[in-house]
Amino acid sequence: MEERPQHRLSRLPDNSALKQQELPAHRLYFTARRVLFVFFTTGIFCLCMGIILILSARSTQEIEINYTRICANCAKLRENASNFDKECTCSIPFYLSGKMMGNVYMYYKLYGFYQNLYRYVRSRSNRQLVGKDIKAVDDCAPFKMSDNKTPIVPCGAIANSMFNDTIILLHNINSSVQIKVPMLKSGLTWWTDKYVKFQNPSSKNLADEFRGTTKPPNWPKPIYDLEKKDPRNNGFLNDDFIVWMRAAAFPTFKKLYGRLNRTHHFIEGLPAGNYSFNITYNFPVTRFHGEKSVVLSTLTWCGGNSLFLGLAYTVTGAITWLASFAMMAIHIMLKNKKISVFHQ
Amino acid sequence: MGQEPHAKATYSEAGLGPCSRTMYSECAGEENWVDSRTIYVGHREPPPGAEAYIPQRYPDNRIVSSKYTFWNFIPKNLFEQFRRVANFYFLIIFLVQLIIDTPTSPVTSGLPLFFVITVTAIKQGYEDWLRHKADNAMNQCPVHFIQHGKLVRKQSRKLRVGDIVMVKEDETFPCDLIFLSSNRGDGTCHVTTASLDGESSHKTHYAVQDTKGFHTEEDIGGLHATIECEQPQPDLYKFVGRINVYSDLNDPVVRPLGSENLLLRGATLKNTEKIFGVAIYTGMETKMALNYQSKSQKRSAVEKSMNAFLIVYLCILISKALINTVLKYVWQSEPFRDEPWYNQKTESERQRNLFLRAFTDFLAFMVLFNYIIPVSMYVTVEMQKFLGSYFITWDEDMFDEETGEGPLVNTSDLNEELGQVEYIFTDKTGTLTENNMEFKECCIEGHVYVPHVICNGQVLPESSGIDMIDSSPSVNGREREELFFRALCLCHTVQVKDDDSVDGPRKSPDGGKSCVYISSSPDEVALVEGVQRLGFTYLRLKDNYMELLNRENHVERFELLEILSFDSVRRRMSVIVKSATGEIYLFCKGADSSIFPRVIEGKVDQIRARVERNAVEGLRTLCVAYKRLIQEEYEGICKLLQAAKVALQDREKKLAEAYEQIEKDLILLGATAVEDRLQEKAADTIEALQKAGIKVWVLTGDKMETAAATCYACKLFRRNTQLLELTTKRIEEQSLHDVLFELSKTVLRHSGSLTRDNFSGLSADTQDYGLIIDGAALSLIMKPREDGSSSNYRELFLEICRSCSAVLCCRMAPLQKAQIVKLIKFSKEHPITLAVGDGANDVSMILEAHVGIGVIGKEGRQAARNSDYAIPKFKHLKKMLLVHGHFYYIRISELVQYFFYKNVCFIFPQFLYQFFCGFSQQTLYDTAYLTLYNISFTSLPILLYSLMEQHIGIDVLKRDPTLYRDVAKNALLRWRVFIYWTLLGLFDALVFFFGAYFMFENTTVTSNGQIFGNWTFGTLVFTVMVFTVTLKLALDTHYWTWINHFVIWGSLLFYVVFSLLWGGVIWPFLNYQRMYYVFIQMLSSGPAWLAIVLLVTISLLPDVLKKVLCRQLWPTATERVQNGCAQPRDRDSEFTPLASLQSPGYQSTCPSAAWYSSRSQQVTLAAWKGKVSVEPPPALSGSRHHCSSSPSHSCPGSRVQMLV
Repeated sequence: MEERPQHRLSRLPDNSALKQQELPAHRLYFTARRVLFVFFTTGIFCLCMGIILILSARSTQEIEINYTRICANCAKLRENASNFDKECTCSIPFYLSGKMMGNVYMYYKLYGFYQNLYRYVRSRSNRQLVGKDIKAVDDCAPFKMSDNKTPIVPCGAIANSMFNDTIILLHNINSSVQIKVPMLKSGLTWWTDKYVKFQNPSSKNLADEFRGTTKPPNWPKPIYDLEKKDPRNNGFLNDDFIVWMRAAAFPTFKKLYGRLNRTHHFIEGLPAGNYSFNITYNFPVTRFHGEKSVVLSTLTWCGGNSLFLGLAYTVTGAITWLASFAMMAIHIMLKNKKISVFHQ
Repeated sequence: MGQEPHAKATYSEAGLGPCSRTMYSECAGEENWVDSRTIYVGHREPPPGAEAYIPQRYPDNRIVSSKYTFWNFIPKNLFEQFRRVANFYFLIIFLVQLIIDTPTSPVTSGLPLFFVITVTAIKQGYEDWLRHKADNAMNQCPVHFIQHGKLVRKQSRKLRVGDIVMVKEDETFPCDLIFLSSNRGDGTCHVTTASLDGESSHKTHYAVQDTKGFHTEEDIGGLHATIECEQPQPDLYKFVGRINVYSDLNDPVVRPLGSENLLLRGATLKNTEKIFGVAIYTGMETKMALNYQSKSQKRSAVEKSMNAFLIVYLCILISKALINTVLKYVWQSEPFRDEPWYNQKTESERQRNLFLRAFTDFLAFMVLFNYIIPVSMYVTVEMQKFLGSYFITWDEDMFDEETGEGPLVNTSDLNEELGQVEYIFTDKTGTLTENNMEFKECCIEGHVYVPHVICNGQVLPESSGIDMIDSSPSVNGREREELFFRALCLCHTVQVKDDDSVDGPRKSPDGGKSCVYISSSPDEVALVEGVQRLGFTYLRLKDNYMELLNRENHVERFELLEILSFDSVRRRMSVIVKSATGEIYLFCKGADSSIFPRVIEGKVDQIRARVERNAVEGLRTLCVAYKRLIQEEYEGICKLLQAAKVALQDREKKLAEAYEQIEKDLILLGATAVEDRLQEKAADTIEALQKAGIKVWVLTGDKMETAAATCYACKLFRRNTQLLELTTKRIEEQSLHDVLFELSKTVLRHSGSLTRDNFSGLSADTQDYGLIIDGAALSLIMKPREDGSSSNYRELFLEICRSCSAVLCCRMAPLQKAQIVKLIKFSKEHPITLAVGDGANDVSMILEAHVGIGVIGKEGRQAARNSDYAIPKFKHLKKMLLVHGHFYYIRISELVQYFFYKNVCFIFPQFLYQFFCGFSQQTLYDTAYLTLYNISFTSLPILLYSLMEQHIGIDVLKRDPTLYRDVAKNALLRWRVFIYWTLLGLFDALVFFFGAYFMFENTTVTSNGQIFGNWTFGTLVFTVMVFTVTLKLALDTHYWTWINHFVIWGSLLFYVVFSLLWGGVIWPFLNYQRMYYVFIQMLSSGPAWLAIVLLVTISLLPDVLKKVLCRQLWPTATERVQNGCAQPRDRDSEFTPLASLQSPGYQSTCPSAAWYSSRSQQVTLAAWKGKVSVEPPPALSGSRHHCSSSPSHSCPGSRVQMLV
């Protein structure tokens, strides 16, 4: 029983603020007065943002031309897979009423193409694409090997279904003179994709490196012939290829096809006038009841010409203000009531 | 119920020679017990021919408290963990992921599951390792054996049944022993059983009569005896057996063995140099080990709601998976969608059976959405409960300086239940009152005696001798008076400790003689001390002679023949003593109800009147009676008792029958009154609890009048409370049926005019009712009627109880207390009940109630051990419920709701995404995000919230008990609230998903024309979600300490840093690089930033708006207090307790004849005596205080002054 005093001490609780739940703190309650201020500020901020965003979105221009039906004969041809070697071109004239200032970007847009199907998204080989081991096709089912057991490069469903229309924009200065609008095929991809995730095998001669492999069944030509003239845009480093390989989130999507090379005639952008798209129609869309179109667009700091963000900001701002007015009204009403009760 | 049914020592039968020898033949009829064992003391077989030798196998003396061994740990532990439904669910999900081709990798659910299982296994393994260590230490500690007459040291685990063991002072007994002899001449020893039942008082045990002479090792080694006893059973206080001692000359001597001969493992030897004993129960068969068994699991209301919500979410999960599966096949019915040219199937996929495919798809969807039931919720809830319970043990306010005891948390599963209590069932003695007894007066044949007036625990010096109120009685009266004092001196089981170092001493106030009395019942000590002040001092029990010092300072010796020990059924005890002159007396002491029917002589009416008056004043009364026995009578008694004592079966029953026969035809001597003071702040606490909307019921074994007085004192009943009585007396007059209907009419008539709102009561003008019911009436109500319609009375009774603000149940047996709790618990509202008590008699109700609270009191620790929480004093209940309980409830309900909310936010976008990806089970988020969302991005803030949140200050909660009503009835986990949270989650999920969708849909979101893919979309949704969900919690946090800031902003920062790292490096261990630079690219886009800000704002706005509007238009009491925190509140004045009663002017007023008001004030003052130092009026303290025996004449006001 001699331990009793010690025992006692050890049972005595520690008097720290944490243990006594008495840490210094500030308390946060949503009283009307405090919240009103926050709501008004938020409202103002949202309204301002909304107006800015709407204005800047309206300053962009965008032209979209859906050529599924315009090129119906080509579409018909492509419905049958056996016609893959027959070439089909299609020209789509259009008139640009105002000039498109600044950088102009050309996109192709697909409707009803599910790049986000689970099996589709998985059907690629990153090891192959980084150029380390071009025969690594494990993840690529059902496009791993050709019938005679040679590995497909690039393997997988994504690569196999790569968009392969060629779109050339022509500027018709007058009825006889057509000049090709110069388009850059660089800078279409994320920097990291082009320089880290996609790498060609190190050799000079790509064709040698890819020996013993075969092209994807849907492709007309092998990977090392995508862009023969520019080695930096050939093989796995081809910008169109890399852009395609980044799976889109929704069945309707745009992908960057080229950007205007602002030289000579086009130094300020696309001047107004007659243009036409010359399209080599390879990519079948009617088979899956899809559509495709080509888009020309200018951009601002906040992207394309969608009004959604601006409108959403404006509406939020407005609702916030409405809410704060309502709160203020209730607040004043209650206060008066309290005061009148007090006076009685 | 101050006394417990302890095994009171049966004194060795020195004078019982004639009785004991003849017993053998009588016992023979009981030879056919099935459950008995025969032990050969020292492994020496009995003389040949005595009995056939049947070897029995007993376990060795190893104590195994550990659950696992090294080998079976992994399988057994895994098995036990997967028996929990939640773990099993996650295991199934994990296995499905392993087996079928699912969109999410098995890692996403395997890793958290593995983490949870591992942490739990490590914790349990560590605990088991500690148990192993403790077991080993215990099993290997040395024990002294006697082998062939020599002392040998061995390890404890090698001890076998039948071994003779020597135990020295301050050692603990290594197993259950039959006490053979001690070095003390009288064959006694003292033990403390602190580690068994928490009682630190010394108990005396007695050696077997025929072996107590064996003092040396050689002697004991030569002992030749067998012991027959029952097989081990867990009751610590029950043991029956007998010993046959063989000697060379005669037939074997048969002795009964009782629990007074049994030394239990775990008890410690005190004040005795050494003892010898023979092992009878070893290892896991010792009574201590048999008491290890765990209590039944209690589950809190919150847990039940949580499980209900889980089922809802499971249904949501299954329906989501079903919807998606069906839609998938509807959608794919167009062949161009089933297998477009760009997404061809492999040959094996084409050939798979449609139904098998559909089933696999269903499972895959299940897996995809399985995160809606988060594995981490269980972990977080467990951690919150475990860590949160420390706040109770740490609380300084709940630490009792006097006893050095703090609160104990025996289970942390019920923390939040403390915030939900609707009914409190409290014991009276020791819980509401101090259980610190003080002898107040005695009444001998109608003459009242008051011992020295005591002021603040000190005897006033000028008053010496006794204060006898009446004029000197006649000679005959004086004789009776002395007989009464002697009876009090002799009729008890108090022990005298001359050793001052003994713990828990109760020093006699008379400093001269340093007699320290120890007893398990404080009443007895108070009586013995009281008699000491009246001139008779109990000195000691020596060699079976009780010695006492009479008024003339002569020592009187009485031979103690028998003790008929106390039990709570009989409610009395008796002793049979033989005076020096050879007269044999039986003295009996007990409750009036058990004494009066057995009295045939004496001034019954006067004493009864006095007893009733005292009871009304809240004093505990005992009556004393005696009878003179002639030798023949005594021998008859002796036979009767001996027969009952050696019985091995139904010994209790037979003893009770014997006692019944012996204790009759008594002559009433007088009555005593002992006061039990109200505990500090008991009234304040009860008042606060009632204000908090809790109904307080007092369940006590005491008399109705005593209990009622205490109830008034502690403000359970007020002046304006109309008392309804449902007592045996009334039922005798009318039938139970009539009484019940009459009462219900009274109550309902009133409540009919009143809106039956539970929360409106207790205001001053409304009439409130108090019900008094006694045990007998209760059992009538509970008894099923002959025609089988048992529920009828119960319903009626419950109806009456519901309308009463306070209920007092008196004359309750322990089981009846549990019955009452059960009755309320299963009534149709299913209220949450809490039982609080301090004694062994409260254990049953503590175990029965939803929350059982033990008061660490004077009656041992049984209640505290069996409780869920233990507190040092009743007053601590206030903070426990109103502050801790309230906080825990707020915290855990937010925790539960928030967890479901954040997982709706998490999974619903995933569900929506299926509509945009052809129901192909494409995940929206990356695997790392799927895995870490619940584990690390959003786990810490809610855990911290659930530990730290204080929606309102501690002082405010204490000051304003009504705030407790705001959370009553599981208010924050009702379906309405749950649906609100779920809808909020749905709304937020819709905002994240469609906000991001519309932003991505048709446009470029970068200024360089580049396009984002599906992983960027998912990351954007995820980022918005993490921010929204965390900020939502931030908005719900009312109490911002630096830790909250650190954790909330820290976890957001962690998310950002993690995402940067995760996307910034190509991780070599991953075979995909889909997240590479996704997050960084997303942040490089202006619109993404704007979208994050906008979507977070939109998600949070409605909730903030709802909060503000609700607070303005329909504020709860809590919110009103929060709003006006700075303003002083006029409500506060109500809570300054007893301010008016303390005013000095009060003492001069003589209260009205209404007995209860005066009583309440008197006892209140007594309770406050420690604080209010009022000098006793000199004129009164020394004077003789006269009160006639008639209660109508008494003026309670004068007693008030006496007390102060």
